[in-house]
Amino acid sequence: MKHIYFGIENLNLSNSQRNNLVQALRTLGPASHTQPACLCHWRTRLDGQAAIFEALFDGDNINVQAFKNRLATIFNVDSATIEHSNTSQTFDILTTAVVTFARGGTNYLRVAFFGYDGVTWPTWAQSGDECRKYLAINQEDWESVQ
Amino acid sequence: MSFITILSNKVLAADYSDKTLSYNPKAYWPLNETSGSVARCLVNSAQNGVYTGVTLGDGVGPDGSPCPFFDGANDYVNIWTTALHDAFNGSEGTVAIWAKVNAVDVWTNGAVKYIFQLNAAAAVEYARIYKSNTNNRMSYRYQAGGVTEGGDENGLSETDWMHLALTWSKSADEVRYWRDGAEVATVDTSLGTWVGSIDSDYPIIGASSTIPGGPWHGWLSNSALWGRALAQPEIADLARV
Repeated sequence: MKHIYFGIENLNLSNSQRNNLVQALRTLGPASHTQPACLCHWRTRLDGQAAIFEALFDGDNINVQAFKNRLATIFNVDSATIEHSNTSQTFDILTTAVVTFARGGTNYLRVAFFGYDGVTWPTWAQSGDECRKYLAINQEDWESVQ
Repeated sequence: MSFITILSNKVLAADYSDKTLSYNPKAYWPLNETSGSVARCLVNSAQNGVYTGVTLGDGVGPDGSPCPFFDGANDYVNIWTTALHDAFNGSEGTVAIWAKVNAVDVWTNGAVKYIFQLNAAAAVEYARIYKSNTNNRMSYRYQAGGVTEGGDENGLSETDWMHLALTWSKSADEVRYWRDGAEVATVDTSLGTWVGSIDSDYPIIGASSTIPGGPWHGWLSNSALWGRALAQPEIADLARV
């Protein structure tokens, strides 16, 4: 189980496709837990086109193939037709894997696994630090200034 | 933690809880749970809140009781209930809460961090306490009838517990701003008239909304709401444990 933060950004999903994806992601994590921090919870970007999820995830539910499977279900196609490309960014200290999912030459979804470099999973605190730094860097997109 | 320390903390927590209740709040959330999703209101269980994302019992509150950690990313306590909606008085009131930052850099990260928020529909009327996006500033705001009242305290870098309070009174025509039992800004007057009722998305501890915007990064403890503006001796008493 991985207690981490990951972010998604809609690139070209329709509103209904995006909503289907978000609803599927909100069901991840344990159904019940004594700690609210371990249950799936999220934050939505001001424009509604990105969100950050946190929970005690099953690693099999948040890997590249799992996202391909979700997109394939949404598009009603074979998951083999969903392509992906990897990049990485460093927001604070650790490397964050950023995966872009595409189909037929069109990018549809970007997913950032905060603090996960594609090999080693971060601790909850490390993933949180990377997530908070990302939010600070992109504050104008996520916060209404007071 | 030794047995004596644990026992001492329990006595302190009970004393502080009793003291808070002795001032007859409309709602009082100690935030001392160690498991589950319910933030109990000791005044009326119909005003219980719901935790989202926090780590319960992560810290020790100023009164020695357990307190939750808010991660600064997506955690909050939703205190919306119809009972609170009915109990809330926009014309006369006090909000008080204990807050502690995760680390000193929270004061300088340029992000708004909400501690307590009560909004009427469309955010035209509100009472809120938050760490400003201006470095080292704690801000207090009360808006009613299109008139915004606000106090700011600058130069803060406190990493220990702070007792924060906002009091408003239409009848006395004043809004006051408090930290650790002392006023931190000039008393404001010429209040507008609060006519709305709190919106279901915005009575929140530790964020500005259920989105959540401006999530707090640190610990919060013993949050309470009154239907009258508490006087200085009462605020000062609540700022002591």
